[in-house]
Amino acid sequence: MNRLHLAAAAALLTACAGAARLHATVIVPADLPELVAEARTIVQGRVVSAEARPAPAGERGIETLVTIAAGEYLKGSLGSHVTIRVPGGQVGDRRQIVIGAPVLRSGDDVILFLGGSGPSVPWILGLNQGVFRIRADARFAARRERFTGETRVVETESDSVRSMAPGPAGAVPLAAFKTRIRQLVAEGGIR
Amino acid sequence: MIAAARRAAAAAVFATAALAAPTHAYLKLGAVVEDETVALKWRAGTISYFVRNEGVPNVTAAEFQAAVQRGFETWNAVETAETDFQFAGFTSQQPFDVDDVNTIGFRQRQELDRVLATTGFTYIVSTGELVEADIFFNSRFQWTTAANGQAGRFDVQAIATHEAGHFLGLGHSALGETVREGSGRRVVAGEAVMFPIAFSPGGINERRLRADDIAGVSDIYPAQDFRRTTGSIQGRVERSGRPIFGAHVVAFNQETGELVGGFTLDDDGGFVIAGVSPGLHVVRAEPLDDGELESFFDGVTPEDLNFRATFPDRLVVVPAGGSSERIEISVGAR
Repeated sequence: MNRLHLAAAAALLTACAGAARLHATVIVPADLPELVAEARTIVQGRVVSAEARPAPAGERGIETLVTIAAGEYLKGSLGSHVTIRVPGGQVGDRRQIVIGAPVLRSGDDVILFLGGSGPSVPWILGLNQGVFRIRADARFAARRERFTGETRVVETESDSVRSMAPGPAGAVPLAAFKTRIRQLVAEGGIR
Repeated sequence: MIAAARRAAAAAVFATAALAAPTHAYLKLGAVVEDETVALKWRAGTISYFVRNEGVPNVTAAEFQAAVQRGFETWNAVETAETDFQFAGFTSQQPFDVDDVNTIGFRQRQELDRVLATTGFTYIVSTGELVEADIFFNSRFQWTTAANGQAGRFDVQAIATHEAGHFLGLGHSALGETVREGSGRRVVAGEAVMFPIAFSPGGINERRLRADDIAGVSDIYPAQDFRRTTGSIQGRVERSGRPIFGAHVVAFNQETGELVGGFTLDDDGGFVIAGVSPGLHVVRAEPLDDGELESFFDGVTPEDLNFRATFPDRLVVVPAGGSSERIEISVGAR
């Protein structure tokens, strides 16, 4: 296959994959202000337990109570440990999966955007939309987390990593992510 | 609101299916049973579902049921797949009640406040037997069942078609694109009903299945001739000799224009895209950089996003009833 033919074919695939693919190098900004504005609480912490149970009276499903050891609150405060409700889980030999509900396991490092009203058990806003995982990045010996679905955040452990150019799914320091959250909180969550 | 109105993303659990069942493309729901992954699929020939007898403003329960039924019938009509879903009656039960009754209906739940609709499954852990699937429609949004859609309202049939795909055991497809608009995101292109982000309210595009959806459902519930009349593309994606996990691999049929996507889902960076129409295909590997990652993966497995979209240096021949030769796609870092 000659190169010209291949290039044409490649271009065709690009076009057919969606015109917006042409804009794929532009970062799609997160809906972070919306999440910040809606969240009663924003917490960075580590999952210490996750236990499923039958949902409370009036609801016949299964839910999982997830407890997080709070490391830092970026908005609000619920104490050293916070327990939240996540739909689905396993009770006995039955497991209920709710598509879109995050599965949080002990040891997971996360930033959570939590909703809540009155004296209720908090929940994650928008199911997995309100979960930002902090993970080890083997390549950079750093940590990264999901950045509102489109962009990766890397918690750098060396200045050199910070020189990575951010881009779609690229690396952005965790500190910048948290700074942005704090800014939005200070602004009342409104852009 | 647009961004907030996305449908629920894929369950984290189904990543275990997708990861452990790399033999074919798409993301399929599954469960790990005694260290083996089994597909979450219906074994019975006809699957019955009930509809909650409660409407919302602008949509009666009967209108809702009819629109949902049209959504299911869209899948039933796929010639290369064998599915048969039938409406069994109205019920007062609620979706997500664990009662062994497949229930579809409107409901409002605080923790699902930003979810337009979503599907839940209940299965027996020791056997992988699927015993129930429910579809939740969020009553806090504005809905319509108008034949041509209605401005400002989400189309029940379109959303039901997407959720019915989950009901059948399909995960999400990455064949779509969004752009930033205001404080939300707008879908500007979708080549699969199973793309996880809803089009803007008022549209009805998602009522129509695309090649990727058809390949997926046919792969799970193949009709007699499906394997014989379609082929597959297999290969591997790597960067500097290291396998890439979670790469989105897209196959484009030059003759038909059909797009079918898959993912690298094993430790070796391998992928298989099944249900592809025979002929010459352009293949591209790209990072999954649009949409919620956890719409596709479980947030635990470290999918690799740090590479450039890459085309192999040749077209790929897909034979009917067979597989392409194995292609190696070497990608570079961003």
